[in-house]
Amino acid sequence: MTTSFQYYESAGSSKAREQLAAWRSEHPEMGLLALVTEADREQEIPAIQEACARLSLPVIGSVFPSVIFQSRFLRRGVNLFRFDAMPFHLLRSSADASGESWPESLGKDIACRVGESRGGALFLIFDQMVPNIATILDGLYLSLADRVRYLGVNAGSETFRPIPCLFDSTRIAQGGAIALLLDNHPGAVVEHCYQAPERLVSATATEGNRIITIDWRPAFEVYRETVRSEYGVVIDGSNFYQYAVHFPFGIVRAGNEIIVRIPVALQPDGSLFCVGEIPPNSVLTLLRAPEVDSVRTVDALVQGLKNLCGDPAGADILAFYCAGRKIHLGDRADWELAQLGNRSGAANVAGALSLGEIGHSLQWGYPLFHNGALVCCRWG
Amino acid sequence: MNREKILAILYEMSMVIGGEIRLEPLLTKTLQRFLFHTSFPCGMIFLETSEQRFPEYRRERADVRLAMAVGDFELTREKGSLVSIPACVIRGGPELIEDPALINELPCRKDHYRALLRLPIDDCGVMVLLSPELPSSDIPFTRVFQPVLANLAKAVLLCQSNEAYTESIISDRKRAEEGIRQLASIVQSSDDAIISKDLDGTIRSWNKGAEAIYGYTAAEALGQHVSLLLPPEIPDDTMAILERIRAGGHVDHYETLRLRKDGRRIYVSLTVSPINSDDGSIIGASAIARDITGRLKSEQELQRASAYNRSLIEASLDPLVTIGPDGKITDVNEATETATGRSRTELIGTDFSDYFTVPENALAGYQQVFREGSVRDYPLEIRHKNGGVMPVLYNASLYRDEEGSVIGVFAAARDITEKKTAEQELKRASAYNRSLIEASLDPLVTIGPDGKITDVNAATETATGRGRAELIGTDFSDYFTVPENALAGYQQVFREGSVRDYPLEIRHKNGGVIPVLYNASLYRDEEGSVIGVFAAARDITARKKLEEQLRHSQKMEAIGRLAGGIAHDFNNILTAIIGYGSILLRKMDEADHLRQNVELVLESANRAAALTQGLLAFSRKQVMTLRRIDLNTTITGLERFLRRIIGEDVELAVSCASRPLMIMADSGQIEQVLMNLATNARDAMSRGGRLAIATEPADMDDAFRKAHGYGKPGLYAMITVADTGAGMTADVSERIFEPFFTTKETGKGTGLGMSIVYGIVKQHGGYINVYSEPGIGTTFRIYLPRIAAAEETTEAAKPEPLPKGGTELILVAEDDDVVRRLTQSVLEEFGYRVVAAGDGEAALAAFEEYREAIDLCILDVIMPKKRGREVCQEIVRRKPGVKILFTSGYALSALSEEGILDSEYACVMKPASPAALLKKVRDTLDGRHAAKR
Repeated sequence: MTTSFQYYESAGSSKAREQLAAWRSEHPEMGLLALVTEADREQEIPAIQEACARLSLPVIGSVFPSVIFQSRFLRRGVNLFRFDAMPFHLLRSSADASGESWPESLGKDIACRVGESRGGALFLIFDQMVPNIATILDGLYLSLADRVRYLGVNAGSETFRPIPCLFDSTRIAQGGAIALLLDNHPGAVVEHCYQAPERLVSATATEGNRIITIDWRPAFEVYRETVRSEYGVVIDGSNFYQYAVHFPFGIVRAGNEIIVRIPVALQPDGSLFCVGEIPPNSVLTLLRAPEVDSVRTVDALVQGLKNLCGDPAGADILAFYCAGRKIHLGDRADWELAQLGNRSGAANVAGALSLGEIGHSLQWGYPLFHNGALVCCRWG
Repeated sequence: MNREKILAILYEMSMVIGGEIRLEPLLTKTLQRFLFHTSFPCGMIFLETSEQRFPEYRRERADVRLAMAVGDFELTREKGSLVSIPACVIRGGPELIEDPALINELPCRKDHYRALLRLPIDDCGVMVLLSPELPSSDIPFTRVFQPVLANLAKAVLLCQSNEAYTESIISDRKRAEEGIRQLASIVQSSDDAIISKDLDGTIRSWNKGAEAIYGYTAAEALGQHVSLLLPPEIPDDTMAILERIRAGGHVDHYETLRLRKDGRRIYVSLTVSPINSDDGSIIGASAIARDITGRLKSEQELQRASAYNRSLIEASLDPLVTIGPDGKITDVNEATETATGRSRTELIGTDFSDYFTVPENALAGYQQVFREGSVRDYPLEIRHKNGGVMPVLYNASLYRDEEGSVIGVFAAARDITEKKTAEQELKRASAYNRSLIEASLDPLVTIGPDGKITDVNAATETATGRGRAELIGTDFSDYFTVPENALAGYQQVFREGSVRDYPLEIRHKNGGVIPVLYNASLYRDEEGSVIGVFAAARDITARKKLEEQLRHSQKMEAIGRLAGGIAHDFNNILTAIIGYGSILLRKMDEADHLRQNVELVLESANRAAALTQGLLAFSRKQVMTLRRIDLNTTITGLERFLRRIIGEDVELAVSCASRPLMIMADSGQIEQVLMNLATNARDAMSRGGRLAIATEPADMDDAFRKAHGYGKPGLYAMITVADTGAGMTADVSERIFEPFFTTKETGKGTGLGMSIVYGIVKQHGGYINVYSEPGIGTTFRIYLPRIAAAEETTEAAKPEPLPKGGTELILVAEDDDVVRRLTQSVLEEFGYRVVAAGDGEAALAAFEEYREAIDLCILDVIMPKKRGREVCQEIVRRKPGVKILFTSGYALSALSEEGILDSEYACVMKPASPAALLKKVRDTLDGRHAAKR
């Protein structure tokens, strides 16, 4: 996969248009992946579609709270990623007029395309408002198994409002997903390095992204007690949004690995909405987010990249950084991102601020949906 | 990981397991949770079923059903199917194994996994997880999940039971629904009107039959009062019927008038029954109405027709009679009175069988009517009062009253006196034709337009090996080796009217094949319509055999001619080689180191000469010395020599006829025949065996000739040479007498041995045949013409004296320079003087020049300008009494054609060795050439 990428304050600028035309003349089969900031989406998506239509370029893209370029978060502008030859790509959403649900249609179309060879990666961008991403990933794994490696993110608004955040050459959609089938791609590494305390609770009743009861009591009641007893912080309805991002849940796996679930909304019945599904009866723990070690996280990512595809020094890195993690870490997030660039020696780190991350199991091939994590892979 | 955490995880997994009631989601979700918690990327579950139990021993491979697989594409493709895996994977307790070789025997991605975690699911099956590396977790995976796996086992059993039970409920419900659907379908499809109504008479259901009978659609009728169907001219009976139903009663087969939508009146037969609710109370009525308008009309028409029928019966010329169940006549018509000579009153009430010549037959026909409902063309003879007899065919059937009860038999007779007479005539003619057909020796067959055999004669039965009954009705083409050809011929007959000499092969039941020529033509009925094909076959087996024999003879003759021609040219060459070689050898010093080379040249040339002699023998161009010999004596004398040829491993049995078998033969050549056959037999019995040689008298007659396809009638002596060797295939037997045909490996045989045998036998006017079976052995039979035993006996051969020279002058006429020079050298070497000439005219000129001095003329038979014979005649004319010796490299036929064979002059065949030439020259000069050669 040969690629290049470039950041523009506006895709409609003459500079961007000239660059696209230059790329197009050099690579007649090229296509674009566009990452657009939430703030500029209303102008930029039509501009990108118009520019691409003029040059007959296939394009697929999505909206994120910020984009990342040169290891920095940028709240305005667009990142344009060029594929020298546009890979197989799909945009499926609930608006599709098909007899079957869009996840089924997505799964079948990808399965038809994948064939029997291994070596490629499936890059997925979900609208963050899709409530059952982990279940969709389970379904994809049942069908595709280990024929592809899995990586991806959630797109959308930082405020968790539903917005049309997925687009291709002609459509802008919401409530669906984008899939890109990348040939000869080693996949990505995912890391969060949140630490788990010993105390466990059980999500005794859940419904998709919603935890209804924990240990048979209203979820928020237990959450509040635990935060208070573990960290001495008193959370109530009024300061929930201020604190919850700092005290995420972790779903405990027998192998001691943690899947982060950040609570993002409190319901009047005391149930809690998280980013990502919580399976019924999941073993939960309240993670020690304040203790997260950025250096360890970055080192783990760099080592993971080395294991996956060799030394990233001098290479371009595609990176997605969890918006919840950024809120939690504040300025340390900028430092952490800069460290990723520095410690990897990468020529450039570009990507976006994401609302959920998808990667393999930390050890092997099972695809998992994470929060609070960074997803990185070599680009090009 | 602490105990609390583990218990919590176990709780979570147990809840997953406990929440499922169907097997596939249970296995999928459980496996997914295991993969989630263990970080193994791939897993599978094998389940034991009541039909399939896991094997007891761990070393076997086992075919087990892969109930579930997640995470490995190759594996997921096998989901649900039987897979063959090492039994040790599914047997034994929980175990974490690092064994890539074992894992590679599973139907998963190859050379990828290293670690296998086996987790037995109690007695129910086993879960197997795979990973590219051993997990780094500190959790004892083999023990920690045991409680969950026990729960899983119970859940699997529950799901299986639940699914089986659900399946049975669904099946029961489907059956019940099917029953209701069928019932509704029956009601809907009934021709009768089936309707239901409230007790107040409101119509509630209306089937298609009701639509057809009353003309109202269901939409029009539903909700209407039943009096809608009542014609205004009759009293309203609907409420009376409903009253009766309300009281719990029924209405059966009530015939009444009803009104259709189109205003027409129809008669219906009504059956009305109450409809009960679940508590038994009557809530309505169902009415089934059958339209009987047609039936009533029919009955009226029947009455009218009855009178009309009686008049027809009386008008009939055929005797008609009705008979009661007691066998008494109940009615007759006038024709019956005429046929019997008795009046109606006289006949009625009497036993019907009394009026037939064989009453028992009449009674049997009457009983048959009762058994089968009718009889057709039943033959009887009516006995007239005056003693006359009328042959008739009876058609009879039961007749019934309105209720369908049998009230007797109606019988009608047809007078067939005329037909009977015609039939007898036809039968006589037919029998005559049949006898002609059956007498034919040719297979005859008739075939219908559908290609089925309709008749065959006895010769066809013989040819096919199948009985007439077996053949008739079957496809005629089935009995030929190539049915397509037979069919093509049959179609040609239809196209062209006939075929002549159409070649086919009849396939006998025993596998034999008979070649035939078919003549066939269409045959037609009296109106000229084609009713089939008549085909006659002529067996051409004997002709074929003769043709084959002729073909073989011609082939052998051609090969012989070729061989003879080649032999001549070789002879000239060999004459030179042997001659000069001999001279050279004689002049060489005994110690000369090149002497051995010359000896080898001569040895090879002599072998080549023997080959050309063999070719000449095969081509029957070899010069023979025919004498009367006793075949038995020749064979007995040869016995010791034959024993040496065949060796100790082969037993030799010689059995000669008790009487002498005298033949005219060259005994040396007969010995050659036997030696060649014995040599061949020895080679065929490399591991030992038995060679039997026998002689006996044999007579050839026409029967022999027909059976074998060859042979001139007469008396023969037969030599049988039979071995128990390897035998030959038919292909080999066919070619065995051809020159240079050999089955021996290269260098082991010349391929001329059997050709020589053949040539010698043919030259003796005899026949030879071979019969061989691979693995059994080979038998040769040689037939040589026999002469009377009383004639003179064989002369014993005398030893030949050594060659001697002389001083006489000899004219040598030879067109081949090399041979001529050689002959001259040899003769001069032994003291003779030689005058040489290169053609016929030169020979005459030389003779003229030295006429007085010349003592002997050696003349080549075939020379340019003048042939040997002409030169000889001229020389003899000029100098009567001069000695002449002919030489020839040509075959015997050439000598015969030139008139030399029968002349008084001697002849020496090329290539002659110097010694042979010198001896012949000396003998001729000395007048010792009693024999011509």
